[in-house]
Amino acid sequence: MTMKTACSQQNCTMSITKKCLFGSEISACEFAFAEGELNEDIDEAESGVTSVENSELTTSNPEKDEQLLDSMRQTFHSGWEMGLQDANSITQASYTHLIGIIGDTDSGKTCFLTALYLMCINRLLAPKYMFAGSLTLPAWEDRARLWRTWNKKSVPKRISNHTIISDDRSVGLLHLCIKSSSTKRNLLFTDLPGEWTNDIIDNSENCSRLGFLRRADVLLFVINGTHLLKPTLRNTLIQNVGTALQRLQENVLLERIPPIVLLVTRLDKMPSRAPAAIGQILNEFSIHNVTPHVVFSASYSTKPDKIAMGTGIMEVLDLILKPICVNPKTREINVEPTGSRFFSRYRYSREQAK
Amino acid sequence: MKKNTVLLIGNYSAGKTNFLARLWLSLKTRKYLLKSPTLPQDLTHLRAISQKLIDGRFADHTSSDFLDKTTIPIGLEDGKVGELVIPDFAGERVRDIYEKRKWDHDLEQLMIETQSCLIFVRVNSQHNIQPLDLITASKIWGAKRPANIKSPASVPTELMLVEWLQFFSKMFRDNSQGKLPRVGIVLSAWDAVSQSPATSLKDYFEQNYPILSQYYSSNQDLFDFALFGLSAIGGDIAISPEFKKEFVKDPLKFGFIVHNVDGSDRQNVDLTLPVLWALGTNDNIGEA
Repeated sequence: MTMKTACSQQNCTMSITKKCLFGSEISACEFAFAEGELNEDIDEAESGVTSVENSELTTSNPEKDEQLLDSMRQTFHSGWEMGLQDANSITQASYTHLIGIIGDTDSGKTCFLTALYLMCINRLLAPKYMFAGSLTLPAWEDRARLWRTWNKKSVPKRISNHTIISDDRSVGLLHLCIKSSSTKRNLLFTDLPGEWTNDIIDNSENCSRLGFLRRADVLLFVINGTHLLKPTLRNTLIQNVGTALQRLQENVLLERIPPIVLLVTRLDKMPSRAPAAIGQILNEFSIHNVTPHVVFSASYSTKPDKIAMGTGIMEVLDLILKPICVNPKTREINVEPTGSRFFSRYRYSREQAK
Repeated sequence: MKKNTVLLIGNYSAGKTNFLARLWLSLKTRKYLLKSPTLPQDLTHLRAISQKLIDGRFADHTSSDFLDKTTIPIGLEDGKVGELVIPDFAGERVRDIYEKRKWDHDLEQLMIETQSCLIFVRVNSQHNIQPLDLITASKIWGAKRPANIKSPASVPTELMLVEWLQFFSKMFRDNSQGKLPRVGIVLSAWDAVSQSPATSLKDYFEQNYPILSQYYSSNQDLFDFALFGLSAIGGDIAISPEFKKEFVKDPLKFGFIVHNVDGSDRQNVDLTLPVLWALGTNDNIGEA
């Protein structure tokens, strides 16, 4: 009998914790499966090649023989944004920081991500943080050059399980391995369309696709700093941030609020740090018992002589790798890897608290 | 007879074939730590490329569909003998592997056999594509957003080599060969740099190849790395007729390797050293 090692339920961490989301025996769970089974299903669905067609490759048709040969060649990670199943290879191998990035369209999420990537590969974060690899190099490169942007007419509806090489940008995770203090840290950043943030504000049913954020180590709320300067935009922004946070609290994060960073982008286009407006946003957070750490950033500064390119990036990385935010609802968690998985310990601490 | 495979990897015009030609000439003299006790069965390729070199010409570009497996009998000073297999393939294939995310049967078989490789990066090469920096990126992001287009051919050279190393590492882990794979980074045309005073191999590598050098420093747990400076010819025969005139008089008088010993760079006329290190027969050379 094949051993079940993964689960089709989006929020289940069975592959890591060996515990069923619904408390069932894994062998009896209807959603659990042996990973090879799903890969076959997905490969078939994504390649459009059915197993019947594969079986025909044993005939002497030269075209089919070529396909068979092609399938036997060594293939590697696609290099594009990782799906949840793809990410298992990293999370199961070593401690991995999951960073959820939430923000409206044009708030500066991708800009922040690409600036972080470019600073890292160009040795601008060294010696504190050294580039140690990435399983999504083509995805980073294409974003930095704006070669892959969201197709506004058909923004993906769900996060991918597996990504394949394609022209369309899909919702997934970007991977970066950074060496810091002699330790390699795997970071997975969510790359979500801004429309998703609006969608969760509009309807709680849209929160289910963000279920994976429950395991986030840090949440980045990204806001466009220039919107703080205009009263109408500012008021809408404050309302939206508060509602999005509440939605996430009520429908996704539940009892556990991870450390939150409020990333205020486009500092180079702000005459001041708008303390009054920031105070209003912090008030909105405090309603929900959350105290975010505020970071101002200028990923690509238009005034590099006054505001340096990449301002705020190092600070965010410091916070990701050593969370310092304290929320009343956040349980005390030692995020330093100590040989056991974060989520296992989190689940354990919840069980102890009951 | 034991087979030892050392793969030569590099971008277009990185200096792999010139090195192979010069290596063969050194092996043949039997003056160095690694030597060739007998002639290879098939000498066609080695003869052609080494002939060009001693005539004072650079090697032709390796055909992109060409995976030449040069086999050379080798012997060490302690009497051990073996067979050195040095596949040399066109730089375009590195890009092809980066884009298609797979390699073919020939290469796969070689990778399973291979314990080590030498990655060539030619200094000051016009074919070396630099990584995108923040200032250039800011211009891209400041301009009007382009339509969703397919990426043009400008992936940074270093990035492709790092991806290649990640593939190599996975291949090694999958086949669990026990010890770490040996990877020598060879900065070719080093004579163009070494003429500037106080340019250390490590400093130059870190300042000019930020992606590859960071990956090198951060992944000593995955690879047994070493850094070399290589001048296969000792000067530039393409731009200096005077040097070329001197070179053709006695080609074997020219060419050198730079490697790090106890924290300082040392120059050596033995051009077999990178291969010797890659074979694991000399642990005291090449560490940066």
